[in-house]
Amino acid sequence: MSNKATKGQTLSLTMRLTVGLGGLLLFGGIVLTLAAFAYGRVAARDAFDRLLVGAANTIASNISISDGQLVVDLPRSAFDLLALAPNDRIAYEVRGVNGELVTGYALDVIPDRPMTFSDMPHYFDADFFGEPARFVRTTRTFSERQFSGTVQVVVGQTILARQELAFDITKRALLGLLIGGIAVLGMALVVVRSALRPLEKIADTIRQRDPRDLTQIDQHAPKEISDMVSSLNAFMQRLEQQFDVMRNLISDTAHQLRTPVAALRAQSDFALRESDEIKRAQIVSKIHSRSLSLGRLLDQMLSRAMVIHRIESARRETLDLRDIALTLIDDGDHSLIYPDHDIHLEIGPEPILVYGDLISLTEAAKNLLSNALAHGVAPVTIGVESTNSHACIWVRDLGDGPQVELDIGDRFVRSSVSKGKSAGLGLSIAKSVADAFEGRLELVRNEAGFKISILLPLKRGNDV
Amino acid sequence: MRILLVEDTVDLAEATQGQFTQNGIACDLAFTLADANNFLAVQRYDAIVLDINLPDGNGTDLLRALRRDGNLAPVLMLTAQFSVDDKVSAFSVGADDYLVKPFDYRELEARIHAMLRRNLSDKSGEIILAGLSFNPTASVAHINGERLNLTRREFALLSMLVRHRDQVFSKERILEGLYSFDDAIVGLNAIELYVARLRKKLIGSGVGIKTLRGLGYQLDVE
Repeated sequence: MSNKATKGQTLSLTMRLTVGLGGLLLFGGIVLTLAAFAYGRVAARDAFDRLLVGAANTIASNISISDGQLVVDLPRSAFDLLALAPNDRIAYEVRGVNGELVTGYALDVIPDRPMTFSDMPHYFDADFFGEPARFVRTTRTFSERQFSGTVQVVVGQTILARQELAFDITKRALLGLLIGGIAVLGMALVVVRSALRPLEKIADTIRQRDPRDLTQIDQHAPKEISDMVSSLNAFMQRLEQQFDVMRNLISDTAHQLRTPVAALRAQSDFALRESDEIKRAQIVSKIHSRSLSLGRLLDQMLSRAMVIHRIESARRETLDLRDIALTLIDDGDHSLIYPDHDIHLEIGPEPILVYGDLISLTEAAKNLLSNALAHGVAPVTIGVESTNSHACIWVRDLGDGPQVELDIGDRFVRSSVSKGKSAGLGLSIAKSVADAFEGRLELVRNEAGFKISILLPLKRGNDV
Repeated sequence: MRILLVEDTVDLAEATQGQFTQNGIACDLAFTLADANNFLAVQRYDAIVLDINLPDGNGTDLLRALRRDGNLAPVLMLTAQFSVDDKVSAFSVGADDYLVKPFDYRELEARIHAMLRRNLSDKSGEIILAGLSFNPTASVAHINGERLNLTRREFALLSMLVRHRDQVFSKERILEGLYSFDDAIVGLNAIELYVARLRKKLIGSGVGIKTLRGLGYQLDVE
């Protein structure tokens, strides 16, 4: 039984947490990688664009006019700046007022964008001998007597160093993320372990217990777990009650069955040795009646066991007590065993509703009825009525009831068994059922006879 | 009449067989399922009394096999179990009746005779109303082929309503009909309960009981 339960275990909490957090980190990692890469590219572009525009401005500032001609003195410092990206190739050109090439490569990459005459440098991407490259165009405007107009300076550089920088930035960001992620996972595992420790402790406590030890578990536990502990405790309490019931049942059964069986055995032994036919027939008829009562006793004991079991376990429902009374009349068992007994039914036109278990209540009432039939004086009446607060199913006969006062304990049960009567057992069944449904037994003895009632809390019709 | 008793408790079986014999009923005794099958292979029986728990298997298996082979001999199940559900399950496996141990021999014989009467009864007397088939001679009713578990008085009530389905029955008349032969004295209020119970059991048959306020009850066929 327990094997199955262990094998049916689901993913451990640690595993769930790891998978969950891992997934979250992976997803976050992908998003962050994309973001870091985008950021790295922008940062690298901005950094290198500054170098590029610096170089272009240096060239532009070194353009001079001599005899109305543009003179470009390419400064070394301009290229020193760009040499910070050692693997990239550099291109430049200077174009005059009319767009004619003054010096440099004939790049033909200047976009068809009208000149703005502003000092704002203009960046653009283009190919440089088949490689992607970044260009900047700056302008310098001359307005002298000898020369007037705008000169353009274009400087370009391939983008290997930019990409390298972008990757580098991304890599560093990811490394940080990875370390952070591992730290979070590790901490999460530690937290789960410590959160689950009370559970492990409870499991250990239960494992180390003696199987018969059903005392309460120490309730000191975190709030979330204390709910579980208290339901565990409630469960153990129920188990313990069941155990008690079983223990009592077994000892009662032993006593109650051994006595009549011993009587049967003694009588039959006696019959075997009796030679007188008439006396033997008398003994056999005693054995017969004793076996009949043993059968009834057995029924009652089983009925008691079932009732006790059902009280604990059966679902409760709204019942009409009149239905139970009618079922008893209808069952017909009594007409077979006591064919000459009259049974009357007294019920009203309105339902008498209670909240309980049909089978237990029927058994309880049936036991009261068979007591009345077996030990009372006919006619027997079974009835249902209600007072302000109570519903009541009762059995009345013309006799004076059991000789004992209503101390329906085991003592009574036992003493009645030895006399071959089972009235006590029937009463004890009725009492347990009444108790279980918040009711009680009531005995009234007067000139009209003996009346025994099961009183239960009345359920109002409009509650249904 | 010849019956087969399948029961493994030797003294109970022998005592029962003895009583059958005293009453002029031929009774073969099988202690196991295997014995029972041997008997059934060579002999035709008018009725079978079958214990549920047998040393080499379950009586219900034998019953199922019988019905599969087309043997329609009425079967009475003996059960030592103590549960309300048993009553229903005995019918559901195809038994015609059941008896809880310990039982009275006279009860057993009466039940066997009742089963035989039912089995022999004329199907032509059957009354069919929508999904309800009602056989007054066999004292059984079926809803859509499934046997209805009715108490004696519920059956008597159904019988009154079915036989005179154009009449309205007052509570007084129903009471007289149900209890004229009986010792229990129940009063008019019980009739309402009987009608309610019967109504519940007739659900799904297409047959109902309608209340005519101040007059009584009448069968209502869809």
